[in-house]
Amino acid sequence: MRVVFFIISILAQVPLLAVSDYVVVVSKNSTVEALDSDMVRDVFLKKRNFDGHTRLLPINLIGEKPVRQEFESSVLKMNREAIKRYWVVNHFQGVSPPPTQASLQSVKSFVEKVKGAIGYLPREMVDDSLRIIYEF
Amino acid sequence: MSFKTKTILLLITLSLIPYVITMIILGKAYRSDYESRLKSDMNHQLLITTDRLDQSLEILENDLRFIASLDIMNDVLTDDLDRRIFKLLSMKKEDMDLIGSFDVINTESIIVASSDTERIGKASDGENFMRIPLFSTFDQSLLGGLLVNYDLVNLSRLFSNDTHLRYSLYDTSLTSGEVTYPENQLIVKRTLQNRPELTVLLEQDYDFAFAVLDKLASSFYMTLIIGTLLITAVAYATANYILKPILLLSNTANTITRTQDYSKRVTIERTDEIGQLSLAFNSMISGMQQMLVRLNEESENRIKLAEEKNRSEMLQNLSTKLSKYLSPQVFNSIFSGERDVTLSSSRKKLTIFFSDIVDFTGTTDKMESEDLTQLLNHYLREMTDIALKYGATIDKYIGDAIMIFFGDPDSQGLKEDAKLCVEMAISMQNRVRELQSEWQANGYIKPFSIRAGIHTGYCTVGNFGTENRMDYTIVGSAVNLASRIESNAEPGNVFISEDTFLLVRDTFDCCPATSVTPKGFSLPVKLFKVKMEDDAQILSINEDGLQLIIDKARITEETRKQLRGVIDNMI
Repeated sequence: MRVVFFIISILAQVPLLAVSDYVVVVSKNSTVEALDSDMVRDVFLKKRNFDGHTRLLPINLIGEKPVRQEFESSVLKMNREAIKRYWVVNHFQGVSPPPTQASLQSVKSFVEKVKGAIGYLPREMVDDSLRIIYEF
Repeated sequence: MSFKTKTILLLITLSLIPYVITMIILGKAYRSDYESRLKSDMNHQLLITTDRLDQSLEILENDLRFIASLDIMNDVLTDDLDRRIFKLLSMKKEDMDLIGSFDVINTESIIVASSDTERIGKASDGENFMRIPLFSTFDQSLLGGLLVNYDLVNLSRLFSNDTHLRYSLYDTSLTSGEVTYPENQLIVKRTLQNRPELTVLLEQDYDFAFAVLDKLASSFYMTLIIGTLLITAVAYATANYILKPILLLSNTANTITRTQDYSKRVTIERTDEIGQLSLAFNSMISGMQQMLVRLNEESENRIKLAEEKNRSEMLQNLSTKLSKYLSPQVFNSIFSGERDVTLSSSRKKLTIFFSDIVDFTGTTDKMESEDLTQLLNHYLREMTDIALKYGATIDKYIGDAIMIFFGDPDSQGLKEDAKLCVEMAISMQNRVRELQSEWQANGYIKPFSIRAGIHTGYCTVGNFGTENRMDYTIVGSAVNLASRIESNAEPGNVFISEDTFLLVRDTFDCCPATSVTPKGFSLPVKLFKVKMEDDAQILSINEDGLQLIIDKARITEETRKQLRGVIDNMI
């Protein structure tokens, strides 16, 4: 029974690992390669601003869109209330939240054009102009 | 021009002077001052307006800078795909009611966002009212710019124009700095502090600006006309009020002058200066009337006085002339009223003096009558002076003889009168001796000497004659005796009777002379010769072939020698 359960759980894991819906991307010209979950989290919470000599510029999607909710819950691992409190505290310490864009298209365009920009998009929007550095 | 006309004109002129001065002040000085005040007010309003415009532009610039600082401006990088900048600018344009547009350009000057969608994608022409640079909020890199296409209407609509105060805004950068200002307007101008190329003009019509003054001037003109009429009427009434009594005074004065009727008076029932003048006039006329009466009386008195004076002078002349014929004592006693000119006489004891010139006829025979008159008058004048000096009463001149008496009308006393008479006789003899030298020096060959006789006795003295012709004299035997004594006296000497001698013997040294029995007297009369003081001093010889007078007191030793020589040679 235990074996069956284990197998089932393993099998349940396979499609998730193989097909993630959202990715963190940078411009294909960026020097930033791959980042792990903690690093992405630190970048978007502005605890980490550089990758090597490259200044990192995280871009948030404005509003309550699903991709943002997914990013916050999966990567930042914080709910909206916690995020708000975080930025209120940091705001008074001189740290502002990442700039926002109103649409996924804008995020994509921004990441493409701005050096060091880093954003999250649905996987299907990623093309050659972007490079995936993390998936979630 | 009559005084009345002058007064009216003067009053009108004096009343108009304030009007004229006011009009001049309103016309020039006040108008200029008023214009300055108007411009000052306009400048003040203009300053408020330009401050508002400057403030408006400042707010605009601040708004744009705020917009430029927003994160949303990062959308320039994505060509404002989400139209977020467009919405912001549109909303801002709507809020500001902007006439024009807000544009956002990228670094290639391509408009990526605009409040006017038609402008998106076009290249900016570079001429913008205001341009704010856009920097990214994350790395401060230049993204482009925020532009404003600003119509000046946005500013001019802030003007609070009204009918007469008009603002206008000039962009001198578009007119090469030359602005044609409207004419016949009060204009003030000011450039905006934030935009020096923008000049705001505030203009006001002259007609409107000075409407108050013109209205005031019109009121003044109307007041001037009405005032002039009123002043003329008042001046006429005042002149009448002042001058009517004066004319009345003048007419009365003329009437008085013409008719010489000083009883006329002026009746003016007033208590002011004119009333006082009329009172003074009446008082003056009254005074003149009284004065004329007095003058008439005085004139009559003066005429009387003049007549009396003439009569008095005539009498004085007559009396002076008459006094020559009378003894001063007699004259004075008559003219002083002491003696009445009546035929009256009194008995008095007097001292009578007689003198005559020795051999008067023989001496004067060969003389011309003029010389004789002169000589005789000289002699009589000298003798008269001496007689008067001693207070004698000269009774009369009888040819060359003189009759004098003492004791009436004035008397010093019998004895004193006799002394004075003898003393007078001695003085006469002495004076005759002196005169002899003068007469001889004047060419009279035979200067005469005189005899003198004095007697004191009772005489009848008074006025003798008739009521129409009387003579004051003395009569009596004493007078005859005195005359006889004189005729028996030695020339150059004074013979006195015994009666006189008894009175003067204490005073004069006398020696007895030969007694004579005068004609008409039965008894001889004893005569005395008065010794003269200078008997021994003066030798006088007057004989045929010899005339000699020697005054020992005056002769000098040399003269004495000459005399001896002459006598020795002659004899």
